[in-house]
Amino acid sequence: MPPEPLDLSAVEIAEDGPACRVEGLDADRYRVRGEVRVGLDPEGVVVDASAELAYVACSRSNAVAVVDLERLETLEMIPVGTEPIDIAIDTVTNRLFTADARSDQVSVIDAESRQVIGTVAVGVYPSGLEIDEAGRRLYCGDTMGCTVSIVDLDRLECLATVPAELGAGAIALDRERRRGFCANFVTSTVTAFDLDQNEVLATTPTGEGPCSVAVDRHSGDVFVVNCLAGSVVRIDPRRGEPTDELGGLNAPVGMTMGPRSDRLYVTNRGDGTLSVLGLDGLEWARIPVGTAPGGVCVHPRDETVVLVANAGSGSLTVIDLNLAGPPAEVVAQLNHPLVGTKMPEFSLYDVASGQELHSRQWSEKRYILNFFASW
Amino acid sequence: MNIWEGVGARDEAKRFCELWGIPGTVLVDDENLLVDALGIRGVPTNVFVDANGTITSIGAVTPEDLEAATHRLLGAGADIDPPERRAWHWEKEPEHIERHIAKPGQGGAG
Repeated sequence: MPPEPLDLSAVEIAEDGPACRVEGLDADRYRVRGEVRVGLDPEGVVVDASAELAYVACSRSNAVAVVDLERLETLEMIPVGTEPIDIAIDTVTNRLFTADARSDQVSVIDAESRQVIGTVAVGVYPSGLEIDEAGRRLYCGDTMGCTVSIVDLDRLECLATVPAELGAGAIALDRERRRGFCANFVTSTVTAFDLDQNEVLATTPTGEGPCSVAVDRHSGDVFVVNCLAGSVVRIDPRRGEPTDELGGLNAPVGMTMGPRSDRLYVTNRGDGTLSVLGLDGLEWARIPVGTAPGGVCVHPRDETVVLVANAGSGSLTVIDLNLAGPPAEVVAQLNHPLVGTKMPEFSLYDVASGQELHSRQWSEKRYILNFFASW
Repeated sequence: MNIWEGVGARDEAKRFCELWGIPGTVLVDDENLLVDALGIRGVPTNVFVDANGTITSIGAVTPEDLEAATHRLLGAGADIDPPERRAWHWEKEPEHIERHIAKPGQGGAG
């Protein structure tokens, strides 16, 4: 018999331990404008401010969703390669680029016609993209190829690769200092490389599971999200080591720097929230979004609008923010409302045995259920 | 407990477990029955259940929190995996991952 769903919509959920705290939650300082259904497992998101459109890479739909930000609806799905994870926009040519992980390619989309106009072969399992419009380069982290592919934005061809490490993915650029940074998820490092020479400058250890990276354009400091460690570390590239760490996050995945370089927006895949982390070291807010959020971006023309792609719920959350600093008061931690209650009965298919298993099999036993997704 | 796959949940779950070397029971909640009942908001999430069928913790994502919640469930003196046995399977065998990355037309491990 299916378990009875509970209405948890009005409940602020915080689970055990510091990794799951809900602090600084202050609904007066933000408003969720809407949540738009897109495709399956959306990951990367960008905004074309000139058209007031968002583009969302929906990895399990093998397509890019085109979202009207005024009407808050999905207008169209543009088919691309297999498993597009990240997406980037070149505003000079009005082209979009997707990292098609299981096609080992980047798809090139003309944003006006919404047609794929070409593909560029890159390294194995590309998953992270960043564009240098002035330098006319696209940088692509190749997770299994252990490289950063460098693509000419106009000729649409791969010019070179820079060696990175296993799990190479998210990329950030320091355009002023002409440096790039690639997070290597598996080896728990960040590779720094020279944007002009295409050479590795340094490899710096981070925490466990780095999966996103951002640069403070003022100081040149690099921020890395460590998914497995539940933290963000700050790295001074001149010293080549982490100098600070902010913990308490819940399986953080996506990150972007605010335009003023005063805050980071970090998505917590583990609890369906967006953390606003001040560079003052404080968490300014933790905002409920959809389930299992990943990609996050700030509207290029309106820094008060933040967009989050939710892999679990297949949606895009649009948030209006009014935050200038940390909250005046910290909201008390709450236990999950179901702790102390009976586990619902369930009967589900088991991949290992190929059988349907019922929860009574575990009656009178102590057990742990780990909820996971393969993406 | 595999959730939110969107497409080919049973195959994707199997492929994932082969990739990361995860043995044992892997249930697939492809209709979100337990997800909705427990109000799961993200992955990974761990749910701890005692011998009376009572939920003792929900969450515990980082290794430290996971260890603490496991000790609460099993007792402080319980012998749980030492760190060396938790070393990532794929750090030792990167070529193992490559073998399991599915490509169009090649089929996957699942």
